[in-house]
Amino acid sequence: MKSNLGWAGFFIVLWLCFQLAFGAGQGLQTTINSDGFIASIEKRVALDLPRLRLANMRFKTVADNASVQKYILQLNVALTSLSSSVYLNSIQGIAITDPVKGENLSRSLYTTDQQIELKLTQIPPPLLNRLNLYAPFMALLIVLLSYVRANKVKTLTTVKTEALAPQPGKLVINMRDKSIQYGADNTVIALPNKPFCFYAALLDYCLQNDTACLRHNNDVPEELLQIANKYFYRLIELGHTKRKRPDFGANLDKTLSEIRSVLDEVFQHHVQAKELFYPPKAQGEGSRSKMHNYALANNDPLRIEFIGR
Amino acid sequence: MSFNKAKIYRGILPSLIGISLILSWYIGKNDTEINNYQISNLISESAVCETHSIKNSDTFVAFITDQAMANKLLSALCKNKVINRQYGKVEVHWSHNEQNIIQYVGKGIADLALVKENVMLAFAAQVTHGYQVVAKYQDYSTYLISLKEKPQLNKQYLWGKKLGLLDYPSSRSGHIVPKGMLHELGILDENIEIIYVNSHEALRDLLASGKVDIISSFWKSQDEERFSANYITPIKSKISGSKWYLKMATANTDLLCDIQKSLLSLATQTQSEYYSQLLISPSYCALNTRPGPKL
Repeated sequence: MKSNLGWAGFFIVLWLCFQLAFGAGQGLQTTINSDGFIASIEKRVALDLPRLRLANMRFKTVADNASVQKYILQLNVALTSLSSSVYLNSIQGIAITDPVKGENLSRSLYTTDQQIELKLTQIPPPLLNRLNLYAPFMALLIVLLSYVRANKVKTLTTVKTEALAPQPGKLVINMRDKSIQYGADNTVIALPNKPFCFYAALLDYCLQNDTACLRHNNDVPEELLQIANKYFYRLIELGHTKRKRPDFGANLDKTLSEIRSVLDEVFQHHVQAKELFYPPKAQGEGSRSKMHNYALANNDPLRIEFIGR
Repeated sequence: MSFNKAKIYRGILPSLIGISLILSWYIGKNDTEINNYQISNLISESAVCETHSIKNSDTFVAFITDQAMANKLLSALCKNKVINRQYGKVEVHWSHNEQNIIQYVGKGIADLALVKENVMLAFAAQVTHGYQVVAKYQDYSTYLISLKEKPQLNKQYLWGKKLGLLDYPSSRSGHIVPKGMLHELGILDENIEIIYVNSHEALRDLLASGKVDIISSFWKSQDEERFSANYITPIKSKISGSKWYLKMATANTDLLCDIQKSLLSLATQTQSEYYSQLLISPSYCALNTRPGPKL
């Protein structure tokens, strides 16, 4: 209901705006037309002055009212045929018997010995003419387009949101917010740069190397380090950090510990699935022996999704 | 679906609204646009007809002061056999403006003109352009006409009176004769109130309404319906009437005789007492339209 009122309000505002613009255009043209017709009347009367039987004090001639009135009526008929809004009512005080009603205007023509007064009338355009069908039509068109567009945007947003929603049983590594999420679980955990990049690189590395063997007593493989570096540079691109690139080969135990700690939280409700994404811990005495491998067991790319990679 | 501004496409919508605003303004302007403000000529002072001689480029020009009579004259001339043979077109011009009379007659533009003798004499048009009188209206007298008493032609009577005259100086009965009388009696313009009008009918209306004491004009039989024939005083008699002049650049006697026929025919059609009394001159043409008086 509220949204419908919003669209209706939008339509009315647009209608009014277009109506005002229409009125402004019409008003300007009406003024131009009036000026044109006033000039045309002045010109016509000025040209006909020698043939009009008007009074002249100097030459003691008197006006022939009937012929002047007939002339004014003829002029007004001509103006009507031109769709004029301006009409002539009198020349030198000789008025027609049924003058046109409207806004009165006066103009003077100056001859060598006389000043000829013209009384004109301007008829304002009817109010109905000020309304037009274009304004509501265009307003309706824009509102409809906006409505359709807004509907489409929402649909796309919904689809996109749905697409972004993690699938059940899938680990989501989101580079955009530097977080880890599992399945449809709402638990989204953000990580510091170093463990995040290293874990993302570890997942990537293990997917590419099914039989990867990562031992504590060996150096971290160069390929893994390069992948970790790549993810770090991506974080810089996304604006997460401006810091110097960390040494992913150093303090490996601490890094893995941080990763495990976060994964414990992420898989809080999915303990069984955790094993696939969890770097194995060393068991019992001599955990730092040559036999311990912290490579991940999962090698199914369909269960891992990287966002913003 | 909810109205969410944020979801309305940000770039296209303002552009669309802007374009629509401009379009609305343009439609509004275009809706009332008028391309033609020009008012064509309204005053007509001529009428034209074509004769049977379509290939003939010569035009017969006639000039007259009375518009009502001009149309009848055009019709009569267009039926004229000699004009149809000798000319391709007939133009009849009319005007009250004395400047136009001077132009048409003084410069010999008119082939046929109905003008007063004094105008013709003033420009010596008979000598200059060979105008010849082909017909004339009867001489008439000028009277002082009053509503309630018989006017007297003396200074004592006229002193301080309101006198109605015509405003065009070529009128003999309405301007020249009464002005001459006032001058002879020694009455200056300051001693008498003169009210000008522009026609003999307007003079009669002026007198009937009581706005003047006396008018100067001719007398016609219809005037007895409004005024008394006992209250008129002649100022001058034998004032020559207006005359029809034909420009005789060549000895085109056929044309002269046929014009006379047309004018006689015209005189029979008119209801005006003055215009119906036409006298033809010279009288050597064998006119059988009407046994009218000869000069």
